[in-house]
Amino acid sequence: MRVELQHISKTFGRVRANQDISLTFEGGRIYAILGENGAGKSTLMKIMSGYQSADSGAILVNDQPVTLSAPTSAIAHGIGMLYQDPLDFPPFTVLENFIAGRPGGLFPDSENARRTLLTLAERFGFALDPDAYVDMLTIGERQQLEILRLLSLNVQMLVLDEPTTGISAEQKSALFSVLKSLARDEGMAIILVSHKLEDVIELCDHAFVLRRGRLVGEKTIPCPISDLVALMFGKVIERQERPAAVCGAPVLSVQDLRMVSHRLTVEHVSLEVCAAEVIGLAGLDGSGQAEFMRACTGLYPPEHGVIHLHGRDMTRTPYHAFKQAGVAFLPAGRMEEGLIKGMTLSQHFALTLPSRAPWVNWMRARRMTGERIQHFNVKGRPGSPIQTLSGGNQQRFALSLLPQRLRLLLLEHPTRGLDVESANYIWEQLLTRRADGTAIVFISAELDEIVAYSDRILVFFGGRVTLVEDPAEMSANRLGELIGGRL
Amino acid sequence: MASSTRQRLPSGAGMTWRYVLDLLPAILAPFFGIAAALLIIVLILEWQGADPQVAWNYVYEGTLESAAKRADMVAFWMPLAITSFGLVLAYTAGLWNIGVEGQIMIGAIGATWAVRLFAESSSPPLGLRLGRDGILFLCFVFAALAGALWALVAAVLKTRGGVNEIFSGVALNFIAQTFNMYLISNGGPWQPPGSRATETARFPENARLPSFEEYRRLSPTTIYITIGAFVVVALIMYVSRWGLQLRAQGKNRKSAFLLGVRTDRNVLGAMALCGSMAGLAGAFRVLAPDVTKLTATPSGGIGFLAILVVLLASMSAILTPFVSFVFAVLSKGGQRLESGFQWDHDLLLDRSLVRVLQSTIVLMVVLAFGARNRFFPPRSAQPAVDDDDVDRT
Repeated sequence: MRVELQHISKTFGRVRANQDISLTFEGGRIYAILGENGAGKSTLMKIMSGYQSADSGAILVNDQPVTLSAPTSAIAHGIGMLYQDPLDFPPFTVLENFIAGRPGGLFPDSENARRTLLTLAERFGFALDPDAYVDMLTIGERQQLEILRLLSLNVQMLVLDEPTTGISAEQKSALFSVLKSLARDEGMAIILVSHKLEDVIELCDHAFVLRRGRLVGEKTIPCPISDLVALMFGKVIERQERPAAVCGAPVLSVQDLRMVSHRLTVEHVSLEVCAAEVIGLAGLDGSGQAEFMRACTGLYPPEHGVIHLHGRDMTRTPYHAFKQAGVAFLPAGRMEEGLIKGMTLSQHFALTLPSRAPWVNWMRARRMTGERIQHFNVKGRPGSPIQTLSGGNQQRFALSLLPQRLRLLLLEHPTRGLDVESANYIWEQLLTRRADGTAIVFISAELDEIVAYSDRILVFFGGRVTLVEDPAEMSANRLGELIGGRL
Repeated sequence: MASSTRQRLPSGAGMTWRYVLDLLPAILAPFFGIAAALLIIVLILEWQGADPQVAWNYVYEGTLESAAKRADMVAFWMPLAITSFGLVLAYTAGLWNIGVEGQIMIGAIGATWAVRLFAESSSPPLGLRLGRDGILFLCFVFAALAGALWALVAAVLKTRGGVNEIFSGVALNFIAQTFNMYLISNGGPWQPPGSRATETARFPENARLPSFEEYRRLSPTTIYITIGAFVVVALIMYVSRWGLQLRAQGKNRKSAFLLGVRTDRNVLGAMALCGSMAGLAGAFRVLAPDVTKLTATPSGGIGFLAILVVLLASMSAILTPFVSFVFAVLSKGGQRLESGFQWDHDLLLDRSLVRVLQSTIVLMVVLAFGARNRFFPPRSAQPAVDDDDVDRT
């Protein structure tokens, strides 16, 4: 089995999800496709499994070009996909799910299917009861069922999307040993799509790394974990010389915060941020940075711990109290959280300008909008609907909407999706605010951005945090290891 | 930078022409919808062997032909319009207030309660012996408060309990209907002793709305109140900061909240105001000079009709009076047409066909709007072809 992707490109609107990606997968090996959220992993996998079609490029199976028009045609060519959430029918039994999707007319041969299922399960050491109902199974067992179903359809290549999310440690080691034996003994090609570096290091022979829709590199494993981090996050550049933060009065003080979400528990987070300080929050996506930031602005109630703003206890106060205390929060999804599609620039200003009058002074709103968008170099007119602006302009506009005096500014991926010039402009604006005494806390998936602008760095991994006091003294490798979980 | 922006704009005359071109589909869409609907209706009638001209004569005769018929039509138009004005606020804020039908009923009950307390009772509360104006004023206050409270139940369930207002609205409509039936049927507390009719007794003289000399079924009071409600809603929607906030949270509740809008408070406010206008509509219906009693169906489906009105008017406060007028004509004309279908030998058709014809118009207009959005998307909805955003992920 040999699958070759040639020059695959796919765009959604103006987002280039995949750009000219060429990869080759050989039977008998286990591959990893690594990348942060939004790097283009899922799109590539959906193209390979026939769920979506590429805009351009070719897929070759055993040197024959193929057209994968639907998941069934991918399976017919021997490519099977295991989705993150198992695609089964919970009200049915294991056996019924096993039969569903198999070729064979109106009256499926259930005795035959039961024999196949049991033989396969025995071979891989899965304890699956054919008559059990699927909604009683764990995620790990449902995954096992799905693997057996794909194997019974004679797939030669198995693609697994984040398979270790939500399964127990035993199930994970069982899964990994099965995957290893499928590769070694059956000559199958296994592809693990993940952003979990430890899984990749443990299981895979070879890693492809995607970033911003492009294939940015590949590594044969074993290799140092920091090499993979560097590929995922971009090159770590040398930090610019910049006056050290003159630490002013403490603005934000967080003590022993504990945040619980359905995915993850983050514990023992403590941090003091002083005026005119920039704190970078580093870590793989979903390590708790987003929850921490939302807790610091009253949007996510912590289970334990206290949050002080200028010495005032703000734990479990609502968002509006934080806003009045001079805290601003700019989330990553600009059009989902922050700007309002269908409203014009001056309508946004009229909405946010502080005013006691019950009516809107449209003259003033329009004039203010004109001044601010000129000052922030936003390409657009006061009457333009916000969605007609480009990403960079939207971000500059979102910044121009913030109150002029702020104590604490929380930013989630402030330059995601922007080109270098726009990103630099955003940071110029942010550093001006810092010079005025605003403390800044930001999340970024770009290591160079974190290193370049942070006075201190808080690294999140697996629900724990490590504070890096002096990023200037820190080697890029060491930071990569912290992000990858090597403490 | 400023000069580069200017260069991309076409010159004055060209720009005006482009705006007109942009507006054309928006203006023409409802006309095409209505034209298509009329064509289909003519085809249906021809196919059923009826003369469309005769059918139209019935509609015209039932609504617009004589001054008396026009007055009847206006008496139906006012409660429909005031309910629609309230719904403009709720729908602008993104609140699908399906419960408006129940709010009308509870408003009708509230007005009736005020009549019983202040006009019929021998010992009114606080010893208030009021004249007709005072009693009617309290009827409207009671109706507005009752409608607002009923709407607030749905609003609080939404903000505190996360219950979708559509589901709570359906339930509250049912409860309101049941409560009304409890009051006036099977020896209920408001059914006159010895009566078997599911309605209250007629209200006393001093609880009847004044009416026009020559058109006894139309009351000027309802017209004044409706105009007042229109002014309030138009001011909120076009002038006030609150209206802008409602618009913002209707388009994106999360963003509006993050920009500092108190979204939960506004949900309560918009629902309460919408409910109070629906409650007033309920009062119009029971106090109407030709009714003056609480019946089994005080709303008569006006709430659901108002939902259609607001959707067809695309939540525009300015368009709502006109669209509600069209619906008033269709409804009243439909009633006349129904009797035509029953008795006229040229038109002997099933009465339910009237509903089919009315629904055809709604469907076609909605379809025309859908077609416009698909084939001529409004300029604001088109993504910009901007110069500096080509190579991004």
